[in-house]
Amino acid sequence: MSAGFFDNMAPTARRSLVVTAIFAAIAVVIYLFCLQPCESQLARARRTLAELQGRQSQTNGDLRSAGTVKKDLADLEAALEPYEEAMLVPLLESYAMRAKTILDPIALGAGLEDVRYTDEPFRALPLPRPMPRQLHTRAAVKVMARGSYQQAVSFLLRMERELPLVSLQQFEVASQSTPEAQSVMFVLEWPAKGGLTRK
Amino acid sequence: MNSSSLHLNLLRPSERLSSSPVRMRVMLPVGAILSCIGLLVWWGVLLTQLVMTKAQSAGIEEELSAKSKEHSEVIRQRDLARELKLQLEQLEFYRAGVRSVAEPLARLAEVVPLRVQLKQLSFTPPPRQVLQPPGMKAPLFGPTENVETQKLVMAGLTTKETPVVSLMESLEGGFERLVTHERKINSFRQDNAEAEGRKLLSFEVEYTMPERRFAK
Amino acid sequence: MWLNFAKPASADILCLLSFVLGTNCATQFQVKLQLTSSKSIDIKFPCGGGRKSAADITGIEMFAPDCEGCRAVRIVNKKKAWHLVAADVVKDPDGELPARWEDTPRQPSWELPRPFQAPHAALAVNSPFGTFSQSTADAILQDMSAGLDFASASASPKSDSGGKRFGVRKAQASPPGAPKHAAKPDAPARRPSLPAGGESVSENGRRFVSRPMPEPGFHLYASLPEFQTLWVSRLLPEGRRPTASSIQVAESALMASVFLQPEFRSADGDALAIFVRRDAVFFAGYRKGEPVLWLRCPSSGGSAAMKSAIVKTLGVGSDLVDSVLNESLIDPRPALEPFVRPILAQLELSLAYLASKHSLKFDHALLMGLDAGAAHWSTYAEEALRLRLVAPDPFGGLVVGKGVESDRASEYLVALGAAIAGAEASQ
Repeated sequence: MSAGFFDNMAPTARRSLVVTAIFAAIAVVIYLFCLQPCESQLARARRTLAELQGRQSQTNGDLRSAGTVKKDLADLEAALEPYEEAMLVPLLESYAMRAKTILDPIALGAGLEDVRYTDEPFRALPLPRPMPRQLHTRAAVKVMARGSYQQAVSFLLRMERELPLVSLQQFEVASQSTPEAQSVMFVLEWPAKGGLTRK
Repeated sequence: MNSSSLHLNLLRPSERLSSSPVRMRVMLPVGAILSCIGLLVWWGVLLTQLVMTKAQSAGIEEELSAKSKEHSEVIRQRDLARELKLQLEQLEFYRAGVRSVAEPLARLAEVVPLRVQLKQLSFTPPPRQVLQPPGMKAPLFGPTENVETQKLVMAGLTTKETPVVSLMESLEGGFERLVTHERKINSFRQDNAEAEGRKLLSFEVEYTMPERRFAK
Repeated sequence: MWLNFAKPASADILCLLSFVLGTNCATQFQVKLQLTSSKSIDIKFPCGGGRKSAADITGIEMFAPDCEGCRAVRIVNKKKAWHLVAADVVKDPDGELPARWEDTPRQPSWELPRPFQAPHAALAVNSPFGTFSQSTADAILQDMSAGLDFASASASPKSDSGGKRFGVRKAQASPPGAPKHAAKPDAPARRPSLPAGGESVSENGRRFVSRPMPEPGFHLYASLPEFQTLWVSRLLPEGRRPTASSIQVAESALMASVFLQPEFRSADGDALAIFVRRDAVFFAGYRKGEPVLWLRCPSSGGSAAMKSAIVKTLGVGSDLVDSVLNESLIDPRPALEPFVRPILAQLELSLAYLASKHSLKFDHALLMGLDAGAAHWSTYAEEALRLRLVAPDPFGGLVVGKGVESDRASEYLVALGAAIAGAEASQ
């Protein structure tokens, strides 16, 4: 086969062949350098658009629920308020000092004497699932005093009435020489803020 | 015998033309040109789609950026609500375990018989919380159990067993917040103390108190 | 078309494309693969399978001097018989056969009437520059070389006073009859080679095709100027029926016109035929269907000269010549015999040649092309040579279709011969 064969081709056929070859080459160039890159870009753009549309629908959904979220938050804060008020907060880094400020009037009112307050070990509360970031705990304070059984019970009654979230963990009444001067011991629990589960 | 021996054909095969209206000489270039045009049109369509997609994306990004502050606030509130809900749940565990025994303790004094002298009334300490069981590298954030059980111990002196039995019978009804039916007589013996010329009996009774359940 | 594995694939792709684009849809179905220098294989494509016979072909005699238009016939092979479906004179193409290279710029397009729109057309050309002859190889080569010196002495190929037409440069076209100049001392004298049987070659502005004859050393060859061949080949445009599948010299077509004759077939292809044309008489001899003799009768005119002699000698009008020849009222011998005598003398020599060289003995010959006077010719031949001249129906062997007029059938011999040869029944 020699180029003579090409030369012997009819001029119109040769022209046709050249035109076909040129346009075929152009078609290949268009496909490789225009179409394929464009398709890749379009695929990327579509993926980006899909992600953005996802985020948009998520955002719109969140914003639509803003009212509900706000209401829920308000409800929760209202529900937490009694606990916040009842929470034992240390005074001068001492829970016993805080308890003294709260309980002294009640003890005095009940007639107990020689009231002393000491810190007791805290007890952990069970965990909800999932865990909150801010844990709460059972802050314990030991109260020792002298008084009668009735005075001790009176103290407990008044305490339960005025501090409904304070719980009696331990109790001891031991008789002394006189019934009016019995040794009374209470270990009272308050809700208190505990540690953080995560930063 | 055939006529091909007499067919002196001066026309070359390459010069023969086709009578078919479909000429490859025309169809192939036309096909190539149409292919190019088709590819260009296709490219145009893709470019248009690309521009529209990018414009859509830009619009959405702009919208998201405008709403980002408000959205962040909603997310913050939602996270806070979630946190507070969990805190409330734990505090409600606490509330469920609050013990109110003042009233039964007050009535206890009324049901103690005359011939019984209580020397001591106490709750046993709650069970120790083990927050780092053996083998665990880090302490737990909370107890593994949510129930605590304590005992109520009554110790005193009496003249005879009947008043103690009476006392125990009295405690069987109306004192559910203070004691359960589970009781144990730890001791019942003669004491050195005397009254009315008789030796007194000392007793110690232990009642299981209602469990404190820190759960909803 | 040839593919050679030793060459780069791009050349093969080019071949393939040119094959596809090629103007030939009917014959390019065979590919020869050159595997090694000594081994090759032929591959025939399933839709082709080599040269196919044309079962429907139009034969056209172009530029006959005695006709206003072109005589055309259309034959169709149906149920193993050839049917003559149309015979008529069609309008000339819009233009004359160019006599010079400079006349070729204008390429008319020719549309045939519907009855003649067969897929293929065989064109028999009457050209003053055409050649059809029985010759030796040397004579043919000499004829091919004619004009070579002139071509090399003329303008260089690069000078383009006429440009390139049909893909051919003017320098290649040397008008026949041009004076032969001495070759330049430094110009290489390229000696042409005899073309392989059936293949056409172009030499010095002319196109040649030849095939060997049974007698060793002799060939039958035809030639036309290259520019005339190319001009004719493009008359029938692409994309419409018919397109040219064959270009023959008129005498070549004439020689093939007896092939369907019952007398020819019954003699198993052994025949002697006398063709009377307008300007000449030809003798043709066949053995087993192969041509063994083609001779133009020297010192003799054709039918025109015969009719002129009758008019002059007998003093009748030219419109009465046929009557004189066909009827017995007037004896045309005084006018006719002097005309026929030299023909018979030459015929005697031809008979002797055929008997001695080819062992062919004839007691009769076919007399073709005479509308009138065949009986007289036969009488004279019987008297002189004891040879009976039979004037068969020119359309003999054909199934003549309804509506086809056959009264002047002799005039269609060339067209018919072109169609028969162009149909090229397969082996």
